[in-house]
Amino acid sequence: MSKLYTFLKYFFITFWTVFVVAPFLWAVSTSFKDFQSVNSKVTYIPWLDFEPTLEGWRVLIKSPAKGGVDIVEPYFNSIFVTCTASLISIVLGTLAAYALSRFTFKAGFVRNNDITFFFISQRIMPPIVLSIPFFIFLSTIGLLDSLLGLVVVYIVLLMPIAVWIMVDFFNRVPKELDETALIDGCNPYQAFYKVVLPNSIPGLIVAGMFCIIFGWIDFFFAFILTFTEVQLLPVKVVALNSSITPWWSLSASALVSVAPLIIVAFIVERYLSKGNLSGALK
Amino acid sequence: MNLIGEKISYKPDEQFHLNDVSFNFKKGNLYTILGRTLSGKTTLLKTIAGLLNPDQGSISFEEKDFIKIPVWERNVAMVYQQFINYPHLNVYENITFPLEQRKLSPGQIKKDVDEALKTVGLVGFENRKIQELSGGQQQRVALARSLAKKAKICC
Repeated sequence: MSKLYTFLKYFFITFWTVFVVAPFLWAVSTSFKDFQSVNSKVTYIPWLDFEPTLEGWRVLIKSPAKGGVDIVEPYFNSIFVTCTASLISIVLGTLAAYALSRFTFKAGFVRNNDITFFFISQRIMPPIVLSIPFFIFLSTIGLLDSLLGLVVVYIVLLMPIAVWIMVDFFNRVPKELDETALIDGCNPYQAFYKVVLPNSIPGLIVAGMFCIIFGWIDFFFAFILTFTEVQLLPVKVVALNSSITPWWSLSASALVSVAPLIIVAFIVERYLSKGNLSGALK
Repeated sequence: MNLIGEKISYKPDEQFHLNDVSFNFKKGNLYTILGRTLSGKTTLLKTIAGLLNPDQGSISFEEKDFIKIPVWERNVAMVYQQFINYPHLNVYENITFPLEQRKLSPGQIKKDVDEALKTVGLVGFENRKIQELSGGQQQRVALARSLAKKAKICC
């Protein structure tokens, strides 16, 4: 029984690893191919099956005048919009979540849980429903096709995620911890940032990661709300596709796109296991 | 210098948690509040500490209206039934926390903390994380933090 269990365990781990890693390796391999290597036959391993070339990667940094697509500017646009919107969403979302977790709000039949649900309801709606109001709103305030306009929209999209995650996290931090901080001489703000916040770091990291991921991968709003002045990376990557699909540069751009998320995941991974509340309340 | 409560009532929902409670605690004395479960013992202590504001009644200490003083300025020490410590701080930092809030000098803080650690028998445990301590030791850290404060009212 235990041998079968071990076999099944390793079988599924191996299967899942291959399932997750294979497309990534395929993209790495394809990014070093050229037209011939992609279209003539199925090729896998550089130098054995095909002669690797950096053409797919060069296209990404060449200017359009030289036949490239220049993803550098969209890349930094995406980093700016995602980081700024995520940071603001986390700050505002954390404060809102703390209030929803610690104070009781009553307005007619509306209670704390209803307000929390109201926040997340934006994410339940299909994006197309929000696109028209966003378009009219940005157009009215003159922020259509601008980085600032995208930051505003992304804050609206990302803050519910931060609120949802942090409310749940703060609910798990014992209220007595805040009360002890107040008794020990902290005012409510000090109790929040000196005691509650340091014990909520894993929650902040999870919320931050989700905000960054959802902000970084968004294509729909970046596509609808920008035209010529500003472009974000997902839109630029899709724009690579023309009459002949350049799989090599598409693969290279996909790898470049996913790189920041992998870096962020590696940096924050070790913090996720830290900071438990086991010593807070006995 | 007495801690005087008069006709304190607290009714956050349908039921009274405190109903017309009065007391006169004299300085230097030790008082025990006894009562059955849900009779309002903790509510009374939280009201004295300032964590709850009564609907009616008054609390005065040193001839000041205690209810108008926010909890963080009351100089009250309180140890919960379930002992609470700051999990992100080690034993020493847990005990210094209220003293740093009061902006005492580093020398004074060290003296008070050493004294409190000695009283509860936790000398040598200063750098331990709270999670590394047994339940009893964690309780003593919470007690040491309250003792180190040298608060005028200990609950």
